[in-house]
Amino acid sequence: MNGLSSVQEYISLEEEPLTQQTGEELPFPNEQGWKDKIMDKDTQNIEEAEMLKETETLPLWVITSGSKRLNTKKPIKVNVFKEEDCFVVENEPLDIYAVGFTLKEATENFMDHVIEFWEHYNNLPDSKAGKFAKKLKNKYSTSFFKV
Amino acid sequence: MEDNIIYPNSPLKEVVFEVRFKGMVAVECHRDEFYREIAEEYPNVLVPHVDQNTPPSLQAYKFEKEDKSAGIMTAINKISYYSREYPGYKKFRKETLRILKIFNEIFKLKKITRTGWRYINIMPYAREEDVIPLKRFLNLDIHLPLKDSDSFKNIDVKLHIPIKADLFVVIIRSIINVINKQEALLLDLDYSKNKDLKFDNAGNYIKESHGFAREFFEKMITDQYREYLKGEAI
Repeated sequence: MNGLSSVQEYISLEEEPLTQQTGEELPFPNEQGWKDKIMDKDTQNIEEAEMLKETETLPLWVITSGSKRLNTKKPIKVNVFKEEDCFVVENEPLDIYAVGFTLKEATENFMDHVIEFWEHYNNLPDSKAGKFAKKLKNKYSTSFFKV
Repeated sequence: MEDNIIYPNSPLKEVVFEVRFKGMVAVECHRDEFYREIAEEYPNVLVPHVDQNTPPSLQAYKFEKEDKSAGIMTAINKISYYSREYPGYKKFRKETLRILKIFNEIFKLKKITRTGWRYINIMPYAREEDVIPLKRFLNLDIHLPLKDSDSFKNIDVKLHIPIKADLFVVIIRSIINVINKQEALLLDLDYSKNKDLKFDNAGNYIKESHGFAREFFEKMITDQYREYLKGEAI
């Protein structure tokens, strides 16, 4: 080898194994379905999706739809879950319940709705808004700013 | 930050405290004695799958609560307590010490070889311009000799950091839920002590390991993510 080693001769300098967690691989794939991105790509099917019971929540700080973009003053907490054959992304204070056949589609629909609602309430005169609409108008005007 | 504060939107999915010791065959032979003592609260017995890379004796049995929120794992060389619905530090520590005491009354551990505190956080995110919005979640500065070197499609980092005689392992990884395709950041922290350990000091080891991991977590997350965790969201 003339002093040079092949890659195969090297082994990992991994320290002591980690404190054992309850799952067999990454965090409890059996219970909650989380797995390494590399391992699971493109494996989803409807049967697996039916198993989803829990709602997940995540923060959104930016809303985009095409070339339109809104920033949030506080993060929007969205709930993500599956209902029958559709994925749902919702936020109650903004009165938005968006669906899609994939999570990506549902998230995009959610963002489209936010921007549509924001534009609608921005252009709605107070004189034409009912009690509920006034409340939402206030919510949208205080929650977002355009970049 | 008070030790016992639990965020309303906490990303914490699992906390484990583990004690390792030199292999004791008695743990296998008298597993039933230990189980009898904890069966009322942890009635479900879960046995390990066949794993060709791990000898059966080193694979842990699990004794778990009916609702799966917490449990105990034991093998020939270890015992651990885990919680999936973290009740706060004080309650977790108290229950861990209670379980360890029962275990020690049966198996009489004198010397222990390692303690580990593991703190597993999963932080779901939505991509921004098709990259992970890492800077919204974590104070993590990665400088590579590239333009836009702080934009990542995916991330997979594992660091082994010596802290005096102890070892702190940090794993940051982009993961995905295989069922619903929701993406998330994994922030997995493991603080272990390996030298001159005594079973009677387990309470102090929990305190020290938890304190370090919690402080690290607080410094690691951004203020805007902390705002979300506190429930300050729309």
